[in-house]
Amino acid sequence: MDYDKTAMPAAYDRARTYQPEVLRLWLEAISLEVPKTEVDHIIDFGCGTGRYSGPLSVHFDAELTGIEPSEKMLAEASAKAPSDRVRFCRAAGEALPLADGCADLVFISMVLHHLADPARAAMECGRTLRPGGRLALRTGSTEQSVSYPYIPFFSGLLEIIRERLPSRARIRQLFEDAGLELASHRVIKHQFAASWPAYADKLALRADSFLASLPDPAFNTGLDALRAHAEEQDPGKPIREDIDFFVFRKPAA
Amino acid sequence: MNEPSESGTDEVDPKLLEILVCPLTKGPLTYDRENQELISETARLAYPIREGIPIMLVEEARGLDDD
Repeated sequence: MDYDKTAMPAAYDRARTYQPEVLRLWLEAISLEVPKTEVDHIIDFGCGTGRYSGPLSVHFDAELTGIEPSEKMLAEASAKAPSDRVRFCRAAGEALPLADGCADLVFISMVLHHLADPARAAMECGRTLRPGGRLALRTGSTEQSVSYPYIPFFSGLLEIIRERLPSRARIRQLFEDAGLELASHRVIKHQFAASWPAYADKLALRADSFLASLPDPAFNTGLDALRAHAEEQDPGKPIREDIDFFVFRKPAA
Repeated sequence: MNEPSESGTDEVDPKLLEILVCPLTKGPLTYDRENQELISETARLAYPIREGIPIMLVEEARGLDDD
């Protein structure tokens, strides 16, 4: 998806507002696998609007370079201007403009399904990591994402997700082929919205590349059905969309 | 020409310059402050810098031999 051809960058953050606890949960999940003392420079690969950029730099007390091809997404990221330890650069994930071995940690969040050539992007991650460096990958997988609560409401959505998201085995293969070793994989419980109505409000922004791919009638019909369902649900019931979390390691030279 | 802008944010971050390479050849870059470009001699391309953000995309670069 070319985000520069859409109005999604402006709505992207609102559609994904996090409770601070959710962000902290992710930062802690990463530092559980990647010791803070071993990280001086982070690449935020496909940083989008930079939601993780500032928090990662602070959490790891490290320099961070955010790479993103979309001009509009980067404008949102730069406007956040988190600190002088965070900087951004427009580039493609398949052709990183960064020196070999410059990073201790590459962080990738919800990017794999946007890449034209994931295998080449994985090679670039391997190249820019130092020996012993790690790659932390937050991603949808076919296995996990097909269970998301919104999918049954939208006709055609399941097929789009099955087609675009890689399986866990494929993800592992992708990075192993790039010379990295799997260090860990788990599924992180991720609260996406506080309630069904809040979930509907976030989805209504359509700042999701899968929903954006649906024809308008399918989107509108689905959203109406989801809203009707939301009204019948316990208003205190949070909505979870659990997320795959992989950590890969580049073997020491 | 190479006066810093009013906000002082148009200069490329020096720490970023240390690690930037040409995305095509992975060769070194020369910072042309006056024209706000990063020059890759190995690729014969000049990558633009806009509002302090390097645009390291081949399709946005200027060919050094195009005249």
